[in-house]
Amino acid sequence: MDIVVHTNAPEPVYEQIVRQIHDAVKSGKLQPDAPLPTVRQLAGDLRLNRNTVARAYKLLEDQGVILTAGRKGTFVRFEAAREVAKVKTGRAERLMRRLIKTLVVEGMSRREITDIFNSALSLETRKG
Amino acid sequence: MTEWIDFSVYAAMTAIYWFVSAHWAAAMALQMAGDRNQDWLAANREHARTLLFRRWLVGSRWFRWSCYAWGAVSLSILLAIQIGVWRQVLSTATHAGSRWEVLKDAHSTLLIVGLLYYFAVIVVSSRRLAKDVPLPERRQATLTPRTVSGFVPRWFRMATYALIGVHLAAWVVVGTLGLYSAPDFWVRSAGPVTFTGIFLVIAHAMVHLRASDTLGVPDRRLGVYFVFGSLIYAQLMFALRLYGEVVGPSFDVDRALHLTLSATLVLGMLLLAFVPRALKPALYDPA
Repeated sequence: MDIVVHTNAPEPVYEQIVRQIHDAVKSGKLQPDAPLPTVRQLAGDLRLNRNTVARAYKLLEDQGVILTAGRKGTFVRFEAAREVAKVKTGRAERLMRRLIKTLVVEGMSRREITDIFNSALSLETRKG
Repeated sequence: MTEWIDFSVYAAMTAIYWFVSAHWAAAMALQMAGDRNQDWLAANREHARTLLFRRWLVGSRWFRWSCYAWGAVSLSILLAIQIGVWRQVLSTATHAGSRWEVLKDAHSTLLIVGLLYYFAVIVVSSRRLAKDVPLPERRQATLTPRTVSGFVPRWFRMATYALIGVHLAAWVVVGTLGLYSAPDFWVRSAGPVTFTGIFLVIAHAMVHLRASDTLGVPDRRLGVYFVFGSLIYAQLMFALRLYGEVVGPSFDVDRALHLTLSATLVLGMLLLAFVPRALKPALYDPA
């Protein structure tokens, strides 16, 4: 399985790595206990600074997606898929709360917000 | 009379190194540019050739001619030593050893001095090349980890490790039983251990390196096999030295080692010299 990064993209490179590993875990391309390349290998292949890849791995480790077992290497955790889902849910929740706060400040009621959300959701579902 | 064999090997090495590798360095610079950004090289082929000949030093005419000049100077000195002229110039007081030793020392000194110059130019060229050739914005890598076992079959690795084990154990046995003939045996025993360690580190490091056309090794598998081959070769060379340690001065191990190593390097250089040309024939066209 390959990973692709764009150095000129607005999304930071380490986040691109994290996102693609999340996607690979979610889609089952990266199975639990699957080994990952070393920081040195991935940084060398992508021609990136090692700190960039190390930062991505650190974030994934903090999220409970991967496990670094010293010299044995880095592996996908058994509960990685659940953790990825949790991370995604957490991110979605944070986004929603930020939006709700803005709408409340603008004087919208709970009912209005719910209606707008439902209407936007059905519009996107129809599109999608 | 046998000094002519020494002279021939050293002269072949000198000629191949300074007359062939000058071309090889230019081809390697283009390999490095392509390795850094293949699309840029394809789109800027003419510009790359101009940079190669004018800015990246290794492709310049003066670099090639300086290599030829050093080769000619080295060959002349070796020949002067071989036919006895150099001895008269230097006087034998500075060199009490036999002619093969003078040849060996002169060859080593000339090669080291030349290599220092050569690699200094390579370093400067690489830096200029890194400035001139941008890295691609889109980069791709595998998420599959690479290990030595993925490149070298288990039986081959085990056979190599067994050879290393037996060889190093032989040094310990000879040392422990006091079978050596010279007093500084233990100091010299650091040689095989150090070299073996270095090659093992290189073998593992090579696996993690990005696949590269540079140095004419586009296939990482070939690179790993080369390092394992060097490991086996080093064991055989040091086993020869161990034999010399046991039998004493009757066996001229230094001379044999130098000649064998030089002859091997000549073969290696010949192989390497033609690899870049085969890889990118369209790009390789020194002025």
